[in-house]
Amino acid sequence: MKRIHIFGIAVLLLTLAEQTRAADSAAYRSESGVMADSAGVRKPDDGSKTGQDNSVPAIMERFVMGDAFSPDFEEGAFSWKGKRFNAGNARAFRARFERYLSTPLEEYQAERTYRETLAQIEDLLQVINAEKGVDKTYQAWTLLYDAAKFPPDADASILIANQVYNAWSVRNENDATLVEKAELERTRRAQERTVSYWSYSDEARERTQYEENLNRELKIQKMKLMQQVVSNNSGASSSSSSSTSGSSAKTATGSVKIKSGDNEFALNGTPGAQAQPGKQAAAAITQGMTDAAFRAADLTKTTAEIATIEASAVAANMRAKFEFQTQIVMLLMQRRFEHALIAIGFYQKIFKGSHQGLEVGKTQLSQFFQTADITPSMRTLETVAREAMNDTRTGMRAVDASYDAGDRWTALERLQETFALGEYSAEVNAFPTDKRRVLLDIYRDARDLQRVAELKDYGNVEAIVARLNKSAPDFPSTPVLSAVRSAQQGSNIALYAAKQAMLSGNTAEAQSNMKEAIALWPLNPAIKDFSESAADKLDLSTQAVPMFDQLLAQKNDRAIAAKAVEFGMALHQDPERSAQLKKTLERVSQVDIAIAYANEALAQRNPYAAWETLLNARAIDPDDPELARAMGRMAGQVGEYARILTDGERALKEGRTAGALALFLAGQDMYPASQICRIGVENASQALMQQQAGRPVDDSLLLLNRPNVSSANAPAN
Amino acid sequence: MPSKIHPVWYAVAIPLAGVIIAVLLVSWRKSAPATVDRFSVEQYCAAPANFMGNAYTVEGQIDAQLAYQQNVGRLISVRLQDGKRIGVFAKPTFKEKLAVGQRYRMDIVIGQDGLITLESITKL
Repeated sequence: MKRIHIFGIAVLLLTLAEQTRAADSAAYRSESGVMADSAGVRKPDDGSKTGQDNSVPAIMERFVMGDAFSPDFEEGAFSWKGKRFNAGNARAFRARFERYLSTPLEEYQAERTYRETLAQIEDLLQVINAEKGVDKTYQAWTLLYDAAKFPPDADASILIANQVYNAWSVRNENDATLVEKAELERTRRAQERTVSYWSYSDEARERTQYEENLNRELKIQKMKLMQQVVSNNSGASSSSSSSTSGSSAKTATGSVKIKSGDNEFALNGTPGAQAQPGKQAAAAITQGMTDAAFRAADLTKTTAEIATIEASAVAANMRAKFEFQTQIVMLLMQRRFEHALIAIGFYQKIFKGSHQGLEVGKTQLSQFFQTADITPSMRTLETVAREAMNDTRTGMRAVDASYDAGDRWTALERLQETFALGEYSAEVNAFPTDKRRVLLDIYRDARDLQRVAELKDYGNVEAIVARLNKSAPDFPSTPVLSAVRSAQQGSNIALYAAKQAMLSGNTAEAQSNMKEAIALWPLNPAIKDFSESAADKLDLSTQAVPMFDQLLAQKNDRAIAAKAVEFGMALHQDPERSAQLKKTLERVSQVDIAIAYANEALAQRNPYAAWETLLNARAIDPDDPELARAMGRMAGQVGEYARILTDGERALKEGRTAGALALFLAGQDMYPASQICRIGVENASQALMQQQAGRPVDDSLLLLNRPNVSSANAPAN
Repeated sequence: MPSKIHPVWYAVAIPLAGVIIAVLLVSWRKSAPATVDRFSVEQYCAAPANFMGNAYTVEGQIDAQLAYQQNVGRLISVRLQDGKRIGVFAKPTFKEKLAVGQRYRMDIVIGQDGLITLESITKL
């Protein structure tokens, strides 16, 4: 019975192979294709259908590698509460963050001393700590050089120290010019007294007019000079370097020409410059001027020199102030908030209350303060720095709380956010080493996860996610795994479609589906199995045909039946051979059924029925070895009966109808239910009558028509 | 001397005596046991040709009529006393009634190719 089932299945396979050619493929496309499309995984959804990309990299981007984990820096800067800070590009930032996590805290034991030094400096600069007669500014300045010795400082303290020194130098220079100015004042007063005794009314009037014009012109030109110095400072400040190694503005220069009547003087904005009369003016002075005119000229010259000195001093002060402010803004943009506070403290000590307005270039300010409607000042910058430091402290508290609560992933995200803002802060650097190591492992796993997800190596994705779930229970693994499963399923569905297409002979569609399966999941192991089986199938196809032909020629039905499934697969596209295979399998199936029936009849002690069944099966396949073996086993039990049937069949075939009739009657007496004997008696009787009638006997009567093996001689229950 | 019996009585008595004797003979013949031949069905099945030309008297029961054609004859199966069956052909000239299930004594002749032909039949 087992054999019956196997052959039945083989025949079924052949039959279904035809039917699956079109119908199954269409059904697949209509059912699983719609299902896969609606899930957006058979064809990866690029967002056009559902409005949302559900591929694994997109899911990773939304749920894992968001801005909290992987900040996106535009042009090397990130925004915090409307302010833009320099942080370098994302790759550099990640490298620094990873270095931070892998650096043991032991290397920052000196950090404490460094922080204490900075705190001391800041403390010395506090207004509330000012003492009358005690120059704490200088003390703070000297401590800057101590702080600069520590590696975390990166010479930021040196930059502040240099700016302070520069401001002091300018002030000293201004003090020096005061002496010169005082001298010139005295000279001017003397000259004024001399000129005031001039008796010529016209000359006096002209002189007065001349002096008034000169003074007015001097004032105008002084204003122009100051404006020019300011604008030159702005241009020079905006071109300052952004590194913390040092910033220097170009020396601001300016020159104006002072014209008074026909006299023209060049006034340079550099300190110590003297008014240089132009050549034409000099010639006009010397030609045809009276003694009074010479005195007036001297007075004018002295006045101009005094104005120059004053302008130079103002310009120098402004330049020093601009440079200092620029440095403060740079420190702030570089997120060195503590240094920015220290620099602000120095600034407030050096430059008095009226100089607290922020006059550094508008371009820099607009880059830093993205809010347009703000009037920045030193106080504003101080507020920003303190707020940033406060946010950093709060952030690190959140990191510690999350970590201690077991939410390691959340702790890592908060740490990254806090690190982006407070990279140089004490709280960030004081994060314990053991916690850093734990978060470092999680961080690296997350980075690996991102890479393998991009490569669509979903096997490793699952492994890494499992690892992350262990180390960071709050890791958002569910959406990632869902996306992975969807992609895997989509790939398997496409692969199944490829198999179907290949079975139906549609190689183009098979190739297309295969590409889709590879695109969704390149490392799908089923793809490799499919490729190997396709290769095997190809081998089988090339070998199956000659083998089948050979067995068919040998009439070796049993050998064909033994490889029914392989032949079925290999020959399903060959209609002729498929039909032959089908017939062969049917014959073998019928013979096996007959043998089974015969065995059953024998078990029920009905050997004659069994024998008849085998005789009928022999008519189907007289060369079947199994049938021959079965008949040989049974012959001993049905000897006489078998002989009667054989002799009767032969007698009938030879036209000896009377003898055949007698034999079949005898056989029927032995086995009344015999169909062969019944048919034999009928045929012999008809043939005999035709003979007695003198007609030729019908040939069909001389051969026994075998009944159907499956219905005849069925064993009685 | 002339007889005293009228000659008419001779004319009546003699034929009458003849009739009585005939009747007696017939009834005696009927009551006399017939001779039944032993016919081996096995040997006949094995080699029908060996029986060609022989005549047998057998007793048996008509089992079934196997075939009939007008002007050709009829073919019946007869179960003999040993329980085995043979096929017997009756020509169209045979007018006796052959009832299925009835026992008869049959005179049969084995003809060409072993064909068993019914010659006469006596109902038992």
